Amino acid sequence: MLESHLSYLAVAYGFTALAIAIECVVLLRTRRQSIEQVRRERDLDLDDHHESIVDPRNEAATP
Amino acid sequence: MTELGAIAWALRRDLTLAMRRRGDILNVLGFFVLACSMFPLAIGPQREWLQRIGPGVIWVAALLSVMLALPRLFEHDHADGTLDAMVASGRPLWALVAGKLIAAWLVTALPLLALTPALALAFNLPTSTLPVLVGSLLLGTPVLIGIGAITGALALGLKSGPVLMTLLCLPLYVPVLVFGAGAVEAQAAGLSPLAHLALLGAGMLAVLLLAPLVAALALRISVE
Amino acid sequence: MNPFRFAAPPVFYPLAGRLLPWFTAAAVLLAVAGLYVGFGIAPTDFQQGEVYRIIFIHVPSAWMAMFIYLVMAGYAVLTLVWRSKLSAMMCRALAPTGAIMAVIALLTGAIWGKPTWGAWWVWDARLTSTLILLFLYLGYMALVAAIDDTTRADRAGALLLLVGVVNVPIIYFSVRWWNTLHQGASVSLTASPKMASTMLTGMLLMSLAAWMYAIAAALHRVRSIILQRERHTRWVRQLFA
Repeated sequence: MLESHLSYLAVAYGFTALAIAIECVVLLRTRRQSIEQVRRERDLDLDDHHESIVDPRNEAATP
Repeated sequence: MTELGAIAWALRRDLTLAMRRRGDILNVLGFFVLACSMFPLAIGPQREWLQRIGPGVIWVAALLSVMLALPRLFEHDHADGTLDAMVASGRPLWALVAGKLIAAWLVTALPLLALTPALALAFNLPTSTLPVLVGSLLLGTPVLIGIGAITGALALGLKSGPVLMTLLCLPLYVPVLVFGAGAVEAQAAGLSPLAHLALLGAGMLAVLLLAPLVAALALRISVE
Repeated sequence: MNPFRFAAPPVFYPLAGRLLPWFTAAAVLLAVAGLYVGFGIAPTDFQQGEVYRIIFIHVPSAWMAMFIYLVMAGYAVLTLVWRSKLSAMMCRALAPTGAIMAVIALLTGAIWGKPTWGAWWVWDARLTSTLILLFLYLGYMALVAAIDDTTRADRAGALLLLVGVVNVPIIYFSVRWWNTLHQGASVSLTASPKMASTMLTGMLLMSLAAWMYAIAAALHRVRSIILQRERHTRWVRQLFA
């Protein structure tokens, strides 16, 4: 009887640990994706900037 | 335009529009009756069981019927640009919304109330509970419409609008359901339903005062 | 020293980054302390044996689910009244953690209920209210995800949170009333006639740990949100040369 109760404990704590682990993994992944997005869009805009460097309108548009 | 004028204008307009789409009222009533009928079909027609679950079933079915009719409240006006005009006009938006809510209640809840005694009979509910059932729905349906207006305004124009609106609505509906169905159960058990009805009444007053304002704010957020 | 300076993303982003390790460390230390007290010091319960030790997760997560929602509502006020962008970002940052806390509370509640009361789910007032709270979280997250326009999403979510937070005590009150009417004798998962003070200490430590964890998770998440939202600005682009 007592053994099966301990298994309940194990499942409860195990599930909690799993939930926290998943949240941490997702947090790290999201950060990585955000950084990649920043880099990607920055590089794209830099390319645009170089190609159209003569056009004064684009000069004003880039941040 | 004065506030009362705005309320009357919106009320008259929505009623006129509803009269042109009379099928919608039948849809609501049809859903109400069908939803109630699902339960005896699912669990069997024993009179004691039906009597026991009747108040709850009728309340849930009424709640769902009202909720399903609510996306129509703003979506039509949003689709044809009337809503933008209303928001941009100088008229008090809360008053226009109040008029629409009154119209929605007349068109959606009132027919349900009219049909409720028949359904109560179908569930063999004791006649002493009938006034409490109708009374609790009378007090509760405005609250349902008010809350639905706020969530409908927040989810305005979204692709998943109606479904999203129900997800937003239903948790907020729980107290209304608990007090509404609870009032009838209390009456059926020989206790006084007054506490439940008083709480429902308080909720109704709060909604009457606040829902038009909050829904108007939600509309501005969605449209501006 | 103008406190509103910290509400600007370029200032808050590095600040959050500096605070993050401290809150993470605090969460870990408090959790270790809490588990030590909870398993090493707190005695075996006379009625429930060892399985009661689930409360060292169940109660803190339930409290945090509630508390995080209140904090989100506070940020919602700032979003609507002061149009603070960072406040809206904090709402979005807190929501997933709050929802996960609610899920943990519900699951540990069910796991506790089975050996203790014989059923996985007994519709007691607190668990049912927590279930509704989870739906309030999910509704908020669904709403902001469904709206493309960031400003509209921020403000709509904020209004939804305020409507929700006003309703939470009403919901809790109504569910408790419903529960006592229908169940009579209490099948309450918190009905422990007396709790040893060591049990309370354990619960308190774990609650603090959960709080520190929630702050750390929100700080981390908001940094990613800031990066996404401000990715066109110079200060962000210069961060990752």
